[in-house]
Amino acid sequence: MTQDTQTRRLNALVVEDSPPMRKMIVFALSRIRELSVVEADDGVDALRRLSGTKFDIIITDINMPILDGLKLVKRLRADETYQDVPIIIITTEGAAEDRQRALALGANAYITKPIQAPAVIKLVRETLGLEER
Amino acid sequence: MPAIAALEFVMRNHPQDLSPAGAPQGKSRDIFAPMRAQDAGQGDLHDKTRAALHEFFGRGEAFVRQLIAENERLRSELNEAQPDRPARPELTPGSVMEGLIGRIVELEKARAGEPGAPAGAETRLRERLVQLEDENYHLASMYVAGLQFHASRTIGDVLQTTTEILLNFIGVGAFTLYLVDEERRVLFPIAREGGEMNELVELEMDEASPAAQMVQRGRPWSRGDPAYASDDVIMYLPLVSGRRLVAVLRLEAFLAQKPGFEDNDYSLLSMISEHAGIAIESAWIRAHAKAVALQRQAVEHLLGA
Repeated sequence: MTQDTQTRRLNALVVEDSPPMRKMIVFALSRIRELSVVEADDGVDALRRLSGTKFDIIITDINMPILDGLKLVKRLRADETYQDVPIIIITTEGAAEDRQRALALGANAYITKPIQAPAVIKLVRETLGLEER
Repeated sequence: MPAIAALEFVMRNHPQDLSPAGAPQGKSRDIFAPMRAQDAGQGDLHDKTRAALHEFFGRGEAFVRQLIAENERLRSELNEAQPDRPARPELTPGSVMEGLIGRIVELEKARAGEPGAPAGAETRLRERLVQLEDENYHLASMYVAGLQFHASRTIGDVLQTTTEILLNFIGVGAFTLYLVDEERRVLFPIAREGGEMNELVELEMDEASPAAQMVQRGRPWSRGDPAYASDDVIMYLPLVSGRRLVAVLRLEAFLAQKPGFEDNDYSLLSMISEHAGIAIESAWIRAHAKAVALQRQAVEHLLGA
């Protein structure tokens, strides 16, 4: 963990159009005390929120209306501010092609549905370099 | 030597020992009789109460001694009958204290994180923590699922919530939702995940069908109820509102990574069975209701004010 992350809370953005799924991911992430979590309904809502706050990690679904997860990853990697920010994508086990495309576009890791809270917490901690508690 | 067996022995062979002093056999025990006699003005209350209590506890002591003697007798009989039986360690006050002190030292070491602490203590704590996190997450999923059903305003909302819970919380990848046509007494398909809708036909609600039995049961599904599983069906899940069967979910296949139901899944299935039916009925009523502006007088009338 860097000196910077020790002194301030880290901002996480969860982008998921399914309200129950989004709530469960936010609930899982609430177990990580170093994180402050913001929710977005879809890709467009995510872009709106990204313009106002600097996020340290973005967790996004792939299948969303209007602006899907793949387009969002592409947009983020083209933006200087978010070129190096970790992105975790949420996919289904069967969507191997989408997963590969997202990783090729610059996503760092993925989780599959149905999500398991401990797995989400572990992956986010590892991605952010946070010590396990 | 089980205490119950000893008690049965005494009851069988010495029933008089279970009766109060001087009480004739067959009469109920009444240790407060002396006190009542005093109330009636017979003798000194204090002395008689003391005497009665003294006698009562004296009898108790004698009874316990008899139980212990009987226990010893049966134990020696058992040893004679089975000489090869491994002897149980004798529990003396000293050995009990030694054991307890050892356990306290062990726990304190574990708490202080000393290197000499037993490796198992920390592992057990970690396992318990994981278990609690799991329970916590499950309760949160129940809460979120319930909340979503109550927030559903249309049948489409209910279908979406049901789909998301089955797919993302439980891990069922293929299912069909049938609604009940109460006039024609059939189930008609209205939503499907993991397959084509046009392959589906209506299901008759004849007496032998799962749906007819669900109507008869008239309550939400709970663990232990029939699943009506077959080669291509994991289970039929009734969606009810009170006693009314509103719809039936046919669960057909799990997601590839899901081997089967886990303990927590059953309470989610019960939740769907109980809440999705109410949500569908509410959405149905809402769809047929006339929009009326909220008015103070009308609300107060409803509240009986």
